[in-house]
Amino acid sequence: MSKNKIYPFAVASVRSMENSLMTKQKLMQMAEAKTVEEALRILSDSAYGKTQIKDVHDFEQMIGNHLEETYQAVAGLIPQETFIDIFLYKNDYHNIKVLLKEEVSKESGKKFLIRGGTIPLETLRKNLRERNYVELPNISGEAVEEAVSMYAKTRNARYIDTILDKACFSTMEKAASKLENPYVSKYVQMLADLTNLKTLLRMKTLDRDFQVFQECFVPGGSISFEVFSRAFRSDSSVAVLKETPYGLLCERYMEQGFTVFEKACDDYLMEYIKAAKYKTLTPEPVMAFILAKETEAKSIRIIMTCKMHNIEAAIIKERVREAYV
Amino acid sequence: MAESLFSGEFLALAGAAIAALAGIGSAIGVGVAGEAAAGVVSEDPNKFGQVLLMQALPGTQGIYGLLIAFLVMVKVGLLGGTGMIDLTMIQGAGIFAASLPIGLVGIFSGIAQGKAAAAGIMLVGKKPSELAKGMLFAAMVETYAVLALLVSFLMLNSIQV
Repeated sequence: MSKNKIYPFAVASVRSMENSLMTKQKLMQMAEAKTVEEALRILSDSAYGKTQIKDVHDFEQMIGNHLEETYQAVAGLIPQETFIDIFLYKNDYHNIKVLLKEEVSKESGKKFLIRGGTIPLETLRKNLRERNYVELPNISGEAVEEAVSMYAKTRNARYIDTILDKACFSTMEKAASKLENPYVSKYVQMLADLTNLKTLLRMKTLDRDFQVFQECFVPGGSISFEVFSRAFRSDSSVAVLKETPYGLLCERYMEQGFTVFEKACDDYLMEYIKAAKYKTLTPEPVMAFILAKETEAKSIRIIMTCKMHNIEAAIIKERVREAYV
Repeated sequence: MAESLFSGEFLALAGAAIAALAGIGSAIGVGVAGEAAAGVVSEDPNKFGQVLLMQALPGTQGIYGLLIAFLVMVKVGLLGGTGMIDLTMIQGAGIFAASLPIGLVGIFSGIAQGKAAAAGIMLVGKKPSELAKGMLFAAMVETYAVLALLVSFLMLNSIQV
């Protein structure tokens, strides 16, 4: 037997749960629905239907509840906690951002908080208020302090986002390197690269300063900061970035614009995740399932929001992300 | 001491023991398949019957090993109540060699079959209608355990005591 640990129970459970994922056809059906109510009905027939809502505008509640259920179902499957935690840190950091902004704006951000992080919301709120980072093991206290002091200096909430994003990626990177699972490390790396790529192209479109890009650059990717700064300063960023493994994606951007490029990035990640379909005993399928659910939620959000604004079915269909199953 | 270690009687008994070791493969195989089966049942308890069937598949190697071990013991008179018959070293070594195929193949094919059965169980978890196909995939591994059983059996039969 191989030295790698095997998790037949976890993988088999996840395989059964995969039946609750929505297929691409189902998503397309939702996109083609005549009214937003009809789209909601299709959604209610799926695993999301456990939460019944009265108003169409509350669909986010359905998604939130279902995602939380998913996180809980998957959480206990693999004893090695960090494995799943890597994919939950982003929820923790998201909540920290919300809580910090709540603090500085004195407005309630309750509806923006998401359950499903590694730390229970109450613990997070209490310890964050007291600035007690000992109880928050995977959170970079330094980053929180820096974010707060930067805000105090500049009165610009953007710094809270950028500093904590950086911290989130470096936490993920650290956890991934501890796991020594090439599949996970590669994913985290790709995620960081794509995030930087998106930031760069967006900054170029908005004609922002290099300084801003530097602040938003997240660590952990395979493409170094030097390459990005060369791309930023060059007249044709895409030409510089073509040498990277994401050359094809950049071409998409040139040809079809940012929306298509963003979808292409998500599909690119999904293509990578799909490799887990052929693993039977190693933990990859568990991770893939979490990401599949998150991508699915994103697609549903896109569809529902577009439906509410009466956007044509053809346009919605173009934006729906690739599904795992 | 060394003389008794390489006596025909001892070699024959060691052969029976090695044949019985095929159970290691079965134990690991059934264990892996069982974990997977529990995973599926945790999501859908109705699939218990189907996955139990699949879990049992890697168990055959242990039975084959037991069969050969029995045959060896019958051959050397251990089970007849008359006591063990005298064997030359050549005879003992022959019995020992005859037990090797099922012992070794049993261990490795049992583990391999366990993995295939676990994958089949996951298949059933996702697509219950594909039970037969999942079983077939796991049953393919069985071929080699049966071949080893056959070789062990033929070799054992041809040894004159």
